[in-house]
Amino acid sequence: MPRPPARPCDDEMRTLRGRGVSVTVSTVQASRPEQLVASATEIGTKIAALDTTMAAQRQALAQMRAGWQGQAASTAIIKAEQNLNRQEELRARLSALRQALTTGGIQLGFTRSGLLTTVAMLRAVGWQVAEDGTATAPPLPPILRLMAPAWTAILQKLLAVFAQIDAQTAAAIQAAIAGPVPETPPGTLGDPRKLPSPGTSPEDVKSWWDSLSQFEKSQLIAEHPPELGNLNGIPADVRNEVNQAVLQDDLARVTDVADQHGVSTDEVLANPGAYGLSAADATRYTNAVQTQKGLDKMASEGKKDRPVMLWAYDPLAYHGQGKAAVAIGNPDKAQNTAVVVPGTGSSVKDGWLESENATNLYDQMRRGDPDETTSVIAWMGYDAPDSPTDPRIATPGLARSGGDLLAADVNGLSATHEGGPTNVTVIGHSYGSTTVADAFAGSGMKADNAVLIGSPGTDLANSAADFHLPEGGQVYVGAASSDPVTWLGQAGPLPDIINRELGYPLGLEAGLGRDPAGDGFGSVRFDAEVPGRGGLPDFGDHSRYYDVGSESLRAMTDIANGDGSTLADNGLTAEGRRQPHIGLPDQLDLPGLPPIGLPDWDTPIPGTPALNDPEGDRGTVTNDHQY
Amino acid sequence: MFSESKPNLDGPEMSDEQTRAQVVDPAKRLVQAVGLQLRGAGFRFSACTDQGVAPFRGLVEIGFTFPEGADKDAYIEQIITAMSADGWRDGAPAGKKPYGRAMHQGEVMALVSPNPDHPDRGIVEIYGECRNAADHSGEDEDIRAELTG
Repeated sequence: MPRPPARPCDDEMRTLRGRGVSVTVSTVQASRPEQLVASATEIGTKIAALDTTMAAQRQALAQMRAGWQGQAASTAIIKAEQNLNRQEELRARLSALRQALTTGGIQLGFTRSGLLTTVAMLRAVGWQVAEDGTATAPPLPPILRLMAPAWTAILQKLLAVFAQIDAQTAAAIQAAIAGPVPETPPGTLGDPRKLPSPGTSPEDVKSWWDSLSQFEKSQLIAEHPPELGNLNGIPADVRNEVNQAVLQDDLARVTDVADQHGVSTDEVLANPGAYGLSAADATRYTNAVQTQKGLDKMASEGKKDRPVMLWAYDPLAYHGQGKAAVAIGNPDKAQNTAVVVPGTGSSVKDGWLESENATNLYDQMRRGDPDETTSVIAWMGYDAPDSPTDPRIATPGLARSGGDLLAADVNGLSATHEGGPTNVTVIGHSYGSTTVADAFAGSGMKADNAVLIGSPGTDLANSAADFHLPEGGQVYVGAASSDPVTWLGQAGPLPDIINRELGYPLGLEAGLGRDPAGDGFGSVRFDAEVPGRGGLPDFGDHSRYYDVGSESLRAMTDIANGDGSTLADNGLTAEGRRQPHIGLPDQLDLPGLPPIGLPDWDTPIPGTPALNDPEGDRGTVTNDHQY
Repeated sequence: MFSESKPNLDGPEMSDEQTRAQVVDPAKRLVQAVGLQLRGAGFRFSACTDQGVAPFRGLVEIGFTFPEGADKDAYIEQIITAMSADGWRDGAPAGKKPYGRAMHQGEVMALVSPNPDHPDRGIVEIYGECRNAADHSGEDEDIRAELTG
């Protein structure tokens, strides 16, 4: 006799029954799955209490290690460690138990309610349902009898599922209590060997790090997992140690192979596969070399002897262009910290870390205020447009995603900062200024002051108010009258139109938002003229804001040292750009008729310095020159 | 980020030799006049914009150690005096506003200061004019031997 089509699960059910699982409708009815969930919640509370206890014990243990030597100390420390290990084990078991109870409770609850609803519905219309799920149709109408096998199959399937979940839950509980110690999720206090997951807040990362013993910390640093060096909330000196070790690995991977085969590194890089390496290994090496060159140049050993730290390092980021941030001076200890954000064409691969932007600012900040501790972070932490012809430059997309990354890094600084208050200034140049504006206006970046230089526009920020700076904070703007990039954000669609009509002489970098140097933006504009320039456009003048001796670097130095309020007294502030308009009258007066209203049709004229930039004709800088 | 066909120079074009001599020669006279104890000294063609392209200027950076027990301010003054004797004038070139003790000869600017990160050390920098239109890598050249020899 052929098997009825409505009962495909017989084998499965027999298997379950064969294991001695026997679940009836009454058993299901009597079960209380919600109690499992309630127990899980209770266990959660216990875990939290245990975490607190363990964190305290870890700190006590760390102090014990630091301050107590000798035989008795060793014995006590070993005992304390054993105790902690037992607690870690207990925590892992409780955590697994909670998980088993929660999952089982929820699944059993759904199955129970499905089964009981079906049984109640059948019984309400005259069906009989036996304990094992067999459904018997009422006598009339006879056609119902044909449906009996199908209903029986459904009910018995539900019973089997319930039994299966029940058995699984029981097994999971048994395993949690008596099996091998379960794996704990990464980043929990219960397992110091695992890093917090990427989304963890810097404050929580810091608490986790502080909860580790010195031994555990040293072990992690020695292992140098790359994530640890880029994790906000980890102290800068630790990040530096880890990142430097990862960088050395990246160098050695290629040089070792080259040495073994007696060939040049160039040969290995040209055919990494022939030497057992991957293309990614080659990219890592190339960006490691660029990063090392940047570190060496910034350190300037024997000459400037600057204290440099590799604060972030990910050589494979951004399609192989690499990510890195070098801190000159420890940002965790600095009273004044400046973050330098570059613009179009900048990347680790292309050698931005060797540029003198951050070093010039650091040297000037130290000389301007030698008694205050300083840190300048050269932040190549986002994917900047590759060149003026990169189509991505036309849109603020990279600035907005870069703004998110910048905000995360800058906001993380406070979690690890030691001692008194810190003064943080974020400085963006060119497309980087759009990134900085977006970080403040769109990504919740918190810093004391913003500096925008050579800005093509501020995208999401329509005015200084959108930066949400703390009281006393300012948006400072440096825009050389001879820097054509800064004419682009002046207003409206006209810069775009003109740029397009002229065949994109400025690349596609037109129309990234408002000009922050405009007189209605609410910014403080500082002098940023290039000596010897007479207001004629010169693309080179877009890239001289960090020149040693320039009024622009002087102003940025004072701002970053917390002395921005002195700019006006020192004659370093500039008037904002006026923005003349092509205006139509509001209304037309026609003889004998009421006035006809006209739409608001003001069109700002894109500026030329001679026309509307008060900085365009400053005698002191532009005329007092030797030729 | 922008390429230009002709770099905008701060005056008539100078050759590599002239660019180098403009900063290395006075550095050599200074080191020998004062007897600076060098920790390091480097010369490079430094890009005048941050784009790594022409124009370039000559740049000398010197790290020195203060003599044991010397009064640092007095020692800096000794350096300044030696520079004045060599034709340097007080202050930065017109229109320039650097921090640090500045001296100038025409548009060439020197900055002299203690190193705030290392109490026993000081720094001398000499910035030449942006008048070199050739291509350079920006690599540093060790000129300790040249300055002391």
